[in-house]
Amino acid sequence: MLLSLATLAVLILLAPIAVPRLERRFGYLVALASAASFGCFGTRLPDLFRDGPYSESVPWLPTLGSELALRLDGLSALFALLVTGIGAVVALYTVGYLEDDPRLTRFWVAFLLFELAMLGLVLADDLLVLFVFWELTSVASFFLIGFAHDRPRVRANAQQALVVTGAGGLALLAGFLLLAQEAGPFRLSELSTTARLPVDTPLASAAFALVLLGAITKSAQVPFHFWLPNAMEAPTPVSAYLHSATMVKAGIYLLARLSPLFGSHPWWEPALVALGGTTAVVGALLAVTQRDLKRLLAYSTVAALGTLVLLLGLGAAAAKAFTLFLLAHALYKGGAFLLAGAIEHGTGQRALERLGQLWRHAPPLTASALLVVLAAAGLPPALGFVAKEAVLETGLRSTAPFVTVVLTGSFLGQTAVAWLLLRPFFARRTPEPSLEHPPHWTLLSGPAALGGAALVGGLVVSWIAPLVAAVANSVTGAAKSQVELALWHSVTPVLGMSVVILTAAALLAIAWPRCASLGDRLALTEPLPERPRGLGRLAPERGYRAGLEGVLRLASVQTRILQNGYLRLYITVIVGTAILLTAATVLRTRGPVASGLPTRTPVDLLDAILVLIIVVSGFVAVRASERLAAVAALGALGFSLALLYARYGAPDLAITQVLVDTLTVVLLVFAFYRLPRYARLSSTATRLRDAFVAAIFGGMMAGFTLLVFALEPPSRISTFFNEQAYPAAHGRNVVNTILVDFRALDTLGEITVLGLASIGVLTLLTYRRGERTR
Amino acid sequence: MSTLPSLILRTAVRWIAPLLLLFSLFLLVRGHHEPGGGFSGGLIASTGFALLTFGYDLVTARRLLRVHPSALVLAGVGLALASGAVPMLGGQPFLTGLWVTIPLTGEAALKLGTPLVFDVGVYLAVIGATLAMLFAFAEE
Repeated sequence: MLLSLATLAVLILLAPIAVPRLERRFGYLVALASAASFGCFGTRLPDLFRDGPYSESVPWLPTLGSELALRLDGLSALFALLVTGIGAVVALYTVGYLEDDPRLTRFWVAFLLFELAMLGLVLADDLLVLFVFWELTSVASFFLIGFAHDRPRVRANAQQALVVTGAGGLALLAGFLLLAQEAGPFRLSELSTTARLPVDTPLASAAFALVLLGAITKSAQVPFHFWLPNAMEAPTPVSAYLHSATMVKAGIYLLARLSPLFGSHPWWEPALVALGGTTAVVGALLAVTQRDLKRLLAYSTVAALGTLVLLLGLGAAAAKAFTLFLLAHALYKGGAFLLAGAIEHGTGQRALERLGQLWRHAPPLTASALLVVLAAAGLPPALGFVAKEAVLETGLRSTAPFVTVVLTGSFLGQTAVAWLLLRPFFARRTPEPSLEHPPHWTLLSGPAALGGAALVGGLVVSWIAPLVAAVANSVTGAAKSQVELALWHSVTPVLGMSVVILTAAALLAIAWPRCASLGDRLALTEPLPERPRGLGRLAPERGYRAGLEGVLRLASVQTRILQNGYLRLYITVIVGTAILLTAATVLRTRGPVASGLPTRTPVDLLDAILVLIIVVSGFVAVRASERLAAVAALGALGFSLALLYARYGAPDLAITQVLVDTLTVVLLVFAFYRLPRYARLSSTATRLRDAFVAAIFGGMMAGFTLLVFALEPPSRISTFFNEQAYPAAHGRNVVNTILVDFRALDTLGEITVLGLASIGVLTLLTYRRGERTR
Repeated sequence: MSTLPSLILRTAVRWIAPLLLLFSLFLLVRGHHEPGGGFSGGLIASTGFALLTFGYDLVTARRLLRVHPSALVLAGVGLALASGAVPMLGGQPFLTGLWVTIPLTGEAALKLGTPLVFDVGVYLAVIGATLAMLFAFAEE
């Protein structure tokens, strides 16, 4: 498992060097690596069935009690096989799809990053590791959707997908932390087997709600489904891989993974059935009213994701149906997207009504299309058929009759979408769209491979029975169970329902032009415009837009108030914050101050003179009517202060004070002739306000110093430094040992800040110079 | 400062600037036992370059520095980071001080350690940061 992840990581690092040399052939390398991983996971299956789950781990963040722990059980094996297997097919397909696009390097880096993250996500046995990979899939998806970033619409949609899934990711993190706090370990396997979590505490319920929020944003459940059709701006291989077969199923994976833990929670069934059922129906309804081939498939994916969530909500009884449908859908929907991409690549056309008669021009493409359509529609030899039977049977057996209605309705829509895929090949169209060039073999192999796998899956269904049983065990938390699968069950009510759905869906597909014009009238066929009309007015996407606008408005309002460009305001805010925080502490501990003010010592004459100079020059600097006088007064103040430091045994501080003052004067001299006329710009009221703030700050610092002396803590840190400076840090200058040894990390931070500040000054001055010359 | 710099200043700077640079090195090295250190050393060195900018001009000062001040900042922070990373190779925490004692003639011995490297990093970063600002102002 670690080896597979490492291989992908190496390929990511290799891509920037190798892609410019190998160009499109790099895709073969990616396909090969993915296929090898697929083979590795495949050969592990017999062991997995015999001996149970298998783990690997590397220490990571030991102080947080978190490890890079991976675990292969039925559920993760199924997902790992999908990620690597479909990854191999899609990588091969991309060779023909993107050809020699100049942005290939960027594409492959993001693609491999996604594959790595998704594989890590499904193998992770540690909550934090899972979360990190979860976020990485969102980031990789952002880059892949935004592949054609020169179009504003693409950028907006990539951002939307990132914001929606990223916000869900934050909720997920909060949920995970609550979960870890309540149940202890970060290990997923321990969380779900020991079931130490008392499920109905308020904390556990909050954790469940947050995790659910993360899962449904990722898996595009209503009302967060809108990002998925918009993500169709991505290149089609990406749509097939991320937004149909794998990434959008991450939320499903998480819910399945946590179902042994949360399955007994009172909210589990109602929440999942309601969300999944709504999504299944809404997705199906929206799918059949679309005109764009990819949006059609996207909404049908939404419907399928809803079906999966609904099945999870039904609990252990639906585990077999869930697994079968998950596998079948990943295969045929991935194939369908690849088919759509091949059609678009060949004809430059994605609108369903403008396509037709392609069978004359591209017989090989038609053949692979037939494979995909038969698999997607769920005709008998296909895995989809077995899956549909299992799902409908679960629906019939469930206690709520509306579940059957919802499932039937959703399948009706999804099957109609499958039939609609035949339109580009057989519909009569004048003028016929011509194929610009015969598709490259890689473009044909993708849909053919996935569609073919889904189609023959039904024939070998008894082979995958142990895998289904293993997945069902992971989902239900059972130790061992047997699953019997067969293609043919004799004539049952479920078979009757299948036949009805197939026929009705075919009729719906024939009546599609009416559906599409209905969609036009309700304003559903196009991406949501600026001013929505029709049903678009009810779209949840408007909520997203309002939220985004609200955030921007809040940002600009607070920027106007806090970042208004006046240095004096910034200083007032900083000083004010310091006053509030320190004053609160001082006031809380004021008792001992009153009792233990330091005893008075006779005042030294030289000290008194220095203090007098400091006070007077401070007043002079404030009241000066000329700049030179102000600078001179400040200089006198600084040097007197340095003398005070030197007299009280702080030579390092004195040296630094003198040098800083000198350099400040030097800087002022450079800028002197360029500064504007020295004028009094602030009103008396402003000056009084500033004087008030300054006086409070000074008074507070004095009080604070007195407090420190009065408190006399049990052990002073300075004693430690004094004692340890030579033995531990090999230095006799205590200040220096503190700076470079004891508190070296602070110093490192300070010099970094200093460097950044200098870059800031450089940038500001260069920017001003640029403005002036323009 | 395009106005003609005075001859006196120019002659004085000729002698004072190298002395200041030497003194800054002295402060840097003695800092571990006596008052001084990378920070004050760095400030002294910057003062030397500031005087050069006064007495001659910006171009001369830049030429004598040889590298861009921002490169010095980068080198300084990098050196400090590296001195902290060395102990990690031996499995010790970041920024642990490591020392070697080199015996010299007789009783004397030279003790060298990673904190010195760290202080040199501070020295370079301070020079770089102050000079970056100073040169930018002088260019105005």
